[in-house]
Amino acid sequence: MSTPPAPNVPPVVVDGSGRMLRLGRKLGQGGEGAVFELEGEPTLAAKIHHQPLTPLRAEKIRVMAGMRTEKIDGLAAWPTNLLSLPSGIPIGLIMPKVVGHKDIHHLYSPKSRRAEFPGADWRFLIRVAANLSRAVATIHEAGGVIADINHSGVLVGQDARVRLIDCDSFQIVDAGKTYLCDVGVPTFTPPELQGLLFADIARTPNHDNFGLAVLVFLTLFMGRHPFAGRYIGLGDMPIERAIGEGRFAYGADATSFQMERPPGAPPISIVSPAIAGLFERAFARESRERGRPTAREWASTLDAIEGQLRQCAFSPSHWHFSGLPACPWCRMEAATGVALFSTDVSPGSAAHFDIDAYWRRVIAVEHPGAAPPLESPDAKGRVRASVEAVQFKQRRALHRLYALIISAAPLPLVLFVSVPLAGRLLFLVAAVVLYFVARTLVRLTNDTTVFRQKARMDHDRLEKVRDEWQIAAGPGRFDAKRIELEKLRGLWDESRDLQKRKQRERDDARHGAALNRFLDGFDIEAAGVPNLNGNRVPMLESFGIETAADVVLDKLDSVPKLEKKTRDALVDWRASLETQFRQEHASGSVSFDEQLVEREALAEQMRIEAALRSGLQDLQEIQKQTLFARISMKTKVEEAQRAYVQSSSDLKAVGR
Amino acid sequence: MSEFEQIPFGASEFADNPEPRCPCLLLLDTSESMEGGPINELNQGLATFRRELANDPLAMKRVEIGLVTFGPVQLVNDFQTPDQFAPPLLKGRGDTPMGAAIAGGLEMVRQRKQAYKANGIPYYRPWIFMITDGAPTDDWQEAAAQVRDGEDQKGFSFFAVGVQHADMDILKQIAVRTPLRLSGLKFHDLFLWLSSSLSSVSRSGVGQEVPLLPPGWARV
Repeated sequence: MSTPPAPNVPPVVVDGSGRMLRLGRKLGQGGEGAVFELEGEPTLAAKIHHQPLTPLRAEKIRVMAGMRTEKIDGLAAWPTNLLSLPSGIPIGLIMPKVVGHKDIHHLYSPKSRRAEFPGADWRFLIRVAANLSRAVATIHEAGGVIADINHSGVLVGQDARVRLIDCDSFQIVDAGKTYLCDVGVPTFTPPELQGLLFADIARTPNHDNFGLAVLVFLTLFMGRHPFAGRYIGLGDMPIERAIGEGRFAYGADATSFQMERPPGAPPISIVSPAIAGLFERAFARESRERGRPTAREWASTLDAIEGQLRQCAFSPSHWHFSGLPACPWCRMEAATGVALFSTDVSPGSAAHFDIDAYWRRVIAVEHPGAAPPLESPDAKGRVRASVEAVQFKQRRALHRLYALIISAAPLPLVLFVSVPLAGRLLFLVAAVVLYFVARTLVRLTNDTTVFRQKARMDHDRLEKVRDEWQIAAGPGRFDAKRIELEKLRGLWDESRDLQKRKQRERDDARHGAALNRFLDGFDIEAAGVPNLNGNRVPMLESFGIETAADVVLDKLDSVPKLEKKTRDALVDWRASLETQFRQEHASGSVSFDEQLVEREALAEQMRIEAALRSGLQDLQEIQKQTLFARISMKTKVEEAQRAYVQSSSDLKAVGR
Repeated sequence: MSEFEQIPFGASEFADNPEPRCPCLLLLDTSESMEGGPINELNQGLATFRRELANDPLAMKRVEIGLVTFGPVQLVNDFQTPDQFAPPLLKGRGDTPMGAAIAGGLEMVRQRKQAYKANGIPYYRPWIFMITDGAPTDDWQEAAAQVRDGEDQKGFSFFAVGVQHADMDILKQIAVRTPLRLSGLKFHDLFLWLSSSLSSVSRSGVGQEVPLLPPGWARV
């Protein structure tokens, strides 16, 4: 956009006390100017305007620099000094550099939240909204008005603390003089100021309170704007108009305003009734007189809900208002397939691919249906023959007439000239020969081949276009992709079943081998089994029964005359040792080899999952392309159709 | 939320990213005469476009790119935010069915706006940006009428850019705004301008008029 042309950026600027400063790297870009680092001042940044500042603006910055307090410095990037060009023309300001903070819009949209604020749940969002309210309250109590409150004027840190930026546009009062703000973002502007020019308007905290409520709403309601609803009336309902007319899409009266909450957006009930009440008051048209909730009210009400939050039993990243019967985020995520809060996915775990939710999305891609039927070219019937065909027919009729006249020329001789009969016959033969020659000539000079060829070409082209239409506009590609997805799903199911079975087998094998090793450590001699006196032990040993591991039924059976009592005692002993083993090894560790195998199987499953995901995108793409082809190819098909109907009518007209 | 709330198809992307949208449809001529230098520059221009938009986090959430090529008419990319947009490698072949491309493109824009409305997503006036180096080889009158209607009703802004030997007279009859002629093959500059213009639009308020930079890539 308006990247300032290089010559406009001064290399050296001068602050209020005459100190020369050099600009460093560009940090950002705004509507009025750009923000730069200041060489040698790591904690400061310089905002340089594209245009020199007006004297009033320069004075405002000087005044603001004098108003600083520690409290303000903690929550706002307040101007600390005026910057001028070496020639003395004021061009910008110095302010504290805000490090490690991100635009609030990165926090409130689910998509960017997952990337920019991993781990931020709804508790975090509430804390940010409360901190924002506290920051605004502080400015109000210092006599300032933010005036141009908007989505890019608030930065948020990973600890949920906020910093206000673009402070030089705030409206401030000093020594009885008010320095106005001449800008504003319409979607954050209260109804009473919609459509007005800001330059001459003194803003009030009540105006700010509208923008604050919008920003709090965006933060708590997954980035949805309170006035961006589905309008059921006729025509468009831009946000500015909806604000002006008080059409709060989530309000109790939304229906009477012909507004509906957008599909997949949270209902107002996700917040406590107290907070819902604040929103209603903030967005009602009457509030321009009665007053909207103040920043202080917001802060205390938001603080209160922090004590009324509950964690979802199914998804640890879901925190919600405890007054609800069920977790609203689970329901929203199931409906839209969007992860609203980032979850910590432990590596190597495939359990997070919800195959059922995925499959619901596949089924949701509507089948494009058969290609709309094309009219059969014969159905159109015949059209009027073209000028060429008509002219051809006329020319040929004329030629035929000439031919007839020419071939008839000898006839009078036959009738009227007195020649012998043989001569008369000769004339007659000549007339007949002439007729055939002339007819052939007429046929040769009036060849219909051109029409035949044209008709055949147009016919072939129509066939080709119809084939193309079937491929592009028909459901064939869609069906093929669906079958592919079904196969992939089969593979996924198999892979999961296989993994489960493998896991079981591994468990069995692992526990079997380890159990044997464990049991082998217990000599039957030391077992203290009753009825097992000294000389029975060597006897058992001679039958290969030395440790608990050997106490298996077929070995015991091979020992002659083993008393039932002894035998039962041995079996019980082994059973108690097994139980002991299981208790000790309930959570056995996995060997490295086993881990490798597991990982490979998992990788395979994840490959299938990736194929499923991209396949779903392909399916959606194919569906769109198919519907698109039905529009974009229509003219081409119709043209080919028209051409064919014309040329076949022409051919009929001229005869074959 | 009612238990049986109807969630229309496409609601996911808007639930994931409810920012206002600024759709931009590119209608690009890929007829045979574009092959070689022009198409290479165009391909690089598209890559530049994507790269430049990536520098603006807000534009990455708000701008949506749709791409239709003609010669033959193909939907290369339905409207998507730039992070989802993979610049294609276009090839020049075929004729110049501009009329069909415009008709298809306008329908795409209409449907996209429907999706925005159905999902309560605010949107900026869509931009349609057509680049061609020739003259339509199909019926374009109907498409031209649709463009005029759309511009009259502020349904979209249609920009036409002629490359090299493009038939500027026909472009004038199609576009309401004066068509611009690309100076040489400055596709790079053109897409820089386009991305920065879309950035400014997406930073403005929906419905606000945004002053555009002069197109340095055009010649009179």
